[in-house]
Amino acid sequence: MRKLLALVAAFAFFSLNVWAQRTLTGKVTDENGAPLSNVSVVVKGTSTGTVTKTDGTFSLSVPAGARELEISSLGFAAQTIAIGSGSNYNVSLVSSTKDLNEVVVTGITRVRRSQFAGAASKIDARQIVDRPVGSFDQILQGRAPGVLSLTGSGQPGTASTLIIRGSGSVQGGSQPLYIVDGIPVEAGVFQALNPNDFASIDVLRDAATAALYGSRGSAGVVVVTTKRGTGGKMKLSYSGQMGIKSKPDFAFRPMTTAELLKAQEQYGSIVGGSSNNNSLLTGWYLSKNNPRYATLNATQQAAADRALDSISQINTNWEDYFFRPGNFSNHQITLSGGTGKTRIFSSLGLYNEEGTTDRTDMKRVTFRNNVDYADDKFSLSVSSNLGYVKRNFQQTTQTNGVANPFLATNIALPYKKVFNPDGTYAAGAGFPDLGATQLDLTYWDENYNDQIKATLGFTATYNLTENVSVALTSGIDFRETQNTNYGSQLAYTRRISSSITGRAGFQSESISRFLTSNIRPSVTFKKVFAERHDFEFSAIGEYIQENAKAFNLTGFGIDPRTPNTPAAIQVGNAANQLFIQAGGSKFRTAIASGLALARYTFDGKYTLTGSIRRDGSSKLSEDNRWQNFYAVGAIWDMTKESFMDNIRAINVMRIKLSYGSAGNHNNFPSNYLYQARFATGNYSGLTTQVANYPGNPDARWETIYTTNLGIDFEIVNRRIYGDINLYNRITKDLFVSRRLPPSVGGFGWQIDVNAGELGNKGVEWNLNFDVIRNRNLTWTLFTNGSYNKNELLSLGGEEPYESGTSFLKEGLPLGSHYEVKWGGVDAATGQPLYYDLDGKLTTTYAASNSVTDFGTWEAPWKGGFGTSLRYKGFDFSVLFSWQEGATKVDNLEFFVENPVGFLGTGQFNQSADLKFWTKPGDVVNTPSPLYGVNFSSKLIHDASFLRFRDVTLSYTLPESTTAKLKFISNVKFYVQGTNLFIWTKWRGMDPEAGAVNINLSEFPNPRAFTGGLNITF
Amino acid sequence: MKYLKYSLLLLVGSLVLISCKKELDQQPTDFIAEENAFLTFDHIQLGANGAHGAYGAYLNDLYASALVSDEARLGAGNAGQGALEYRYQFSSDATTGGSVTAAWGAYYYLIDQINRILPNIDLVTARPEQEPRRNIVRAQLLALRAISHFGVLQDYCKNYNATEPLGVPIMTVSDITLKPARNTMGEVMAQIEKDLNDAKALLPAVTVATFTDTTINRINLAAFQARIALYKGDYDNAITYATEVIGSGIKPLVSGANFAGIWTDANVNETLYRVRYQNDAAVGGLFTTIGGVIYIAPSDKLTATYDQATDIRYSAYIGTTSGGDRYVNKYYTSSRGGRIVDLKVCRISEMYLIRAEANAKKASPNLTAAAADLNAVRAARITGYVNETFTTVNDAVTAILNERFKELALEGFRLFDLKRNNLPVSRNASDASPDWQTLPAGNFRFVLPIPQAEMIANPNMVQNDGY
Repeated sequence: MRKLLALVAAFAFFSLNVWAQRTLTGKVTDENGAPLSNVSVVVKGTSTGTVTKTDGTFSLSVPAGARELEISSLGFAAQTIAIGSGSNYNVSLVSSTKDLNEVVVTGITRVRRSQFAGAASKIDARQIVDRPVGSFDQILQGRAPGVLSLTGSGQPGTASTLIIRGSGSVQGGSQPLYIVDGIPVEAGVFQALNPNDFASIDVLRDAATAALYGSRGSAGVVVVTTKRGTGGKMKLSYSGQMGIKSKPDFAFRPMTTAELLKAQEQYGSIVGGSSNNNSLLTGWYLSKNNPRYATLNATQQAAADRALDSISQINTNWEDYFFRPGNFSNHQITLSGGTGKTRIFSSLGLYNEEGTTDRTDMKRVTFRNNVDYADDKFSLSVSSNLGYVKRNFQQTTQTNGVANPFLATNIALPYKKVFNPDGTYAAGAGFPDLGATQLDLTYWDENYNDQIKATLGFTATYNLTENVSVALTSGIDFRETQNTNYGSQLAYTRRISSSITGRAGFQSESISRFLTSNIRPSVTFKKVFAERHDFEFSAIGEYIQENAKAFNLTGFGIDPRTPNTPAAIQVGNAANQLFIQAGGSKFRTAIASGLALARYTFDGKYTLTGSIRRDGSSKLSEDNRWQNFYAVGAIWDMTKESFMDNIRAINVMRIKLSYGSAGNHNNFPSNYLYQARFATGNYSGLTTQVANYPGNPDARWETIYTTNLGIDFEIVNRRIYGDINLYNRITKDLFVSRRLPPSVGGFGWQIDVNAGELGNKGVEWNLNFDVIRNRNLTWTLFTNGSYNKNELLSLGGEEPYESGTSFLKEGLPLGSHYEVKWGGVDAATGQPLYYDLDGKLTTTYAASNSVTDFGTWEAPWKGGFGTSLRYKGFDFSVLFSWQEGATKVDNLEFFVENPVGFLGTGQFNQSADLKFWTKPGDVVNTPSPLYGVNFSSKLIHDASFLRFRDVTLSYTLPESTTAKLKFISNVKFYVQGTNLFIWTKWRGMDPEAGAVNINLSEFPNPRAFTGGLNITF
Repeated sequence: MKYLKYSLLLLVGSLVLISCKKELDQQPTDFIAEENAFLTFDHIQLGANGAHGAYGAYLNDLYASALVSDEARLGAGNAGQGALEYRYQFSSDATTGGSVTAAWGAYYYLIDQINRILPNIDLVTARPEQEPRRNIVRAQLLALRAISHFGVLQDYCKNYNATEPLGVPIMTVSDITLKPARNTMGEVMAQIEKDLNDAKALLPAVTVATFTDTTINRINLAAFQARIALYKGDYDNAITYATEVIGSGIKPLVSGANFAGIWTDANVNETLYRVRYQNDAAVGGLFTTIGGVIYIAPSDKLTATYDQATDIRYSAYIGTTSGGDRYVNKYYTSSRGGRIVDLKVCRISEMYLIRAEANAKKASPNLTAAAADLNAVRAARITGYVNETFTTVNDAVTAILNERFKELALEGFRLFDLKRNNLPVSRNASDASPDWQTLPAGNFRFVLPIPQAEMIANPNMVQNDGY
């Protein structure tokens, strides 16, 4: 051991910046004397620091002026020790869990949790790294209370829908603000960020925190902090992960050939008439029971029998063709270290995922460099990330189109062949051959994009005096995506196209560019008066500009011998009619803000915080542009009171109250909603000009007022700990749509007016229980979740209106489904029955009978729970995520249980569950084929689910072994399962995927099994 | 020194913020702000182009007539397109009644666009050679406004009765704060006639050389006047206007290949007004997809009315696939690609049939004149046709209506002809299941539903009976 120490000391000397610096060494142990590795040792108030080695030792060069060392580690109470004249410090840390959340990163400021009046949850690196997802926001489901997180698609790299504390806007969005290392980044485009570089994700939910972002934070803020270099020698580590992805199971099954032919026959025998002669309705057309059969001569009858027989022999399971096994791999090399005043974190990541259907994948290369410098006066943090992503796509998912493989797989006829005898796809015109036609299109066409994203930022701080510091933060988030869509002439649908451009094949290239830049100067005054009055004041200015530009071009006449290149685009002329189509768009928005923040803490017991700011948005007219926002908060740290000294069962108890307002700049319904607009168009070669939006000159800020009451606690020897928050959020001046009557301008004419009021109130919990906690074994149970009641409080005198599948009416939650209530099937006649507004059954379907009795897609209850078990080198963790109380429209059911529109045409497959009325007395849920199926509440189903989200088992080699491997300091192996099971009443592929309100056959989230290895050299 | 440093910082900070304040004035680049919309007469002309294109609204009448009357049936490849309308299960909702409520929004859209242009015509600058065009464009817009009002009146009201309170709203100004109520049918008709008369007074005379069937001019304006007069039951004026059009000689009846060419857009014979679709299968695609899937087919009833051997309309209007399925050949083929055909809104043969019907129905019927016009149309269509004469008004009217059925099939007339004459829809058994084989005369479904969107947004609107 001594030898080792000497070695360490020697290394330390090598890197020593001799003058004005000295090296401290020491060892960190737990309360039982066992050495602790990876403990952070930092010179207090700076970013100079290191981590302990596996034997618990550390060595750190500190500036001459350094006074205190802060020693902290996950799961242990932090300690601060004074630096004296000695150079060796042995420290014993006391196990604790409260430090998990010790520092809340708000992106602008780092606040000690004990002085933080808001509601926030922290997701640490352990939960973030090594997850087989291409977009980091997919990690949040079940891990942060108050967050509704729906992974919308199994397409590799797709962002989630994230709603924090309920939708706070109707016409605007509810997308949170995303901040990476202090720099705002584009929401929803995260493929080029590598979650393995993240140190933590903080989800800020309340007014006091949102007030810091005043004009932009009303929908919550997701703050990502990336890893910084650890002090000491450069450490190289490698992590690698591989695995497979597969299609999920779901309740629904399409019919087999035998089942479908039987259903077709049944359909025809009831409907008769023209269906007798519909040759596509094979099961009936060729049936002996069809009256047509009797009119055939013997040869024709034999031919019909043979045809039916040969069709019966084909039974294509389209799932086998539309799904494939996916795979996943991720490799990363990290360098982390630093000497003296400078620390560096550098990582190179390679990510590769192949989706569970053809032509879907994602490849990513990321390169991150974080550099920190700090001396006693000046500090600088630079963060940079460069990412390149390539993603391949299907023609379409999430549409009710036959080019969507996830619709095709369910409605393609099972008695159609996949391949022609020559091996090509057996594509055909129209719907009957849609399965093979889709596959043919997938085979020939290409659709992919290349994305480059650079996120660069820095914060420079200079201490003017002991109490006053000035800082400047600035950065850019730049993204350019280049999309290519190639339509081959050889694809069947093009070969049979009757339009000139349709036959010619196309090459479509588009570029979209997005740039956000910000600059944020600040001054901070900080002083402790008379030892008990801790005071902090900051003045901050901020300017943010967003620039977006998109350009696209589609050319035709692509010779298949030179496929997929813009070079093959033919020059259009009057003879070939292959004119190039080009278009694009651009916009710029800006916001300027001035902000004052203050905090006062008395004796560590009472803290008051306040902020006031003024913001101007380019999205509003000059008269309504500027708005003030403010927030106040108070914290009472009860455990610091003397009367608590004798109450041993309570270790920490903090009560927090905050109130404040915040705006929604990023989620305005449009960038220029106050202006009426005209656009040019085309009428058969003539340029036209038409008004396309009437404009609302009175548009102003939509503001959310949040009251939050929270409690942080650690009780029973810190074994039970967590926090509970109660909140009430009211959106005022809520944008609601004023639907103009079609008679004043046609269909779809609407303006957004600040009229309504929307409420979200609820409770959030985050509870942890260490069942067993000793040196070798830690077993923790945890649960987090929330209940949110969303209610449209007022429409401000506007008429209630239909929005998508929902209806906006006072007293209802947003997203309330609006449909005619299904009354079942009349057992005597087979007619569909609906309820009218008086609750009486009627056979007449009238949209005016629509009601809102069917719930909303936005789940009021959601959360996660699980357990983690640590035994020596083994670490086992399980996470379940769930949502309860959501309903969703199943559009697929409309297709696959629809005798008139689908079965009867003979062009589509149906659900094996289809049972339609055939004779009086039948008690079924699908009407007689004589009557059409309308969109009704029949299609609305419970979309609640419980997902077995994640299970991970890892093993870290014991030190005794790694010590023998001279060049390796740490080795960890792990296996992981993601999305293994789902328990749900939903029958479609995935209750989460696709639009939040309606299932349009989106790419279902895959199941994944991965295994990996992390080595630190 | 310290304070100087702070002051400097503050100064720099404020300067930065002041310069940022200017940056908050971001103007749209991708669309035309209202204040810049109409600056020169060129912009008025662009607006007028848009208005002429927006008269594609007529296509909704054409489709509604096909679905609700007896001229069409659901085709072999129908997967629900128009099926609920065809089965008389439509409602005011866009999902179930989209095809019969669409005209309302489309016509009022056009009316609003016109109302946005009209007040600017005199305000914009114009080059000297454009000066006369101010009145021509004004007249075209007034006429389109009148025709659009007529479109909604015909679709969403009962048969014409001047005192009927449930007409449609008259819209002559663009104002998004309005929540208009229904005017009486008489008031609407008065506005239509005023706009048409004002327009006609502003339009110059046309000749064969200056006539174009894609913009409003004196002659096709008269054709619409004739159509509206017949609808109103004003037979004398119907005769006058129809005679004005026929007498101009600008568009004579044609036959043979000249007739067939109308439907492939090879020529513009007979067409008085046309909405162009240069590369859009809006018209043909309603009936048959570009890929050949038949959504809506000609009814057996219609098919049976033609003598296949002698009537050139049969092959021009009705096609048969190799599989034996019939399709609407009228909107099937074009030099610009399959189904990409123009919308023929008004043809000369309609003028003959209007005049024939008006002569038969007017206070002192002139059956000879009625027969002459009917025979003229038939002679142009049927080889070896022998003229017919009539002795009773009933026989004449029945023959004329039947001829309108055949001649103007799937052009947006049949439903309104049946409604206007208080006749039922009676489909052949082979065209429809018993449940939707008949729509009794005077049934509420002859008056199409006001769209749900209007009912929700406009508390002053009254829905039609039955919906």
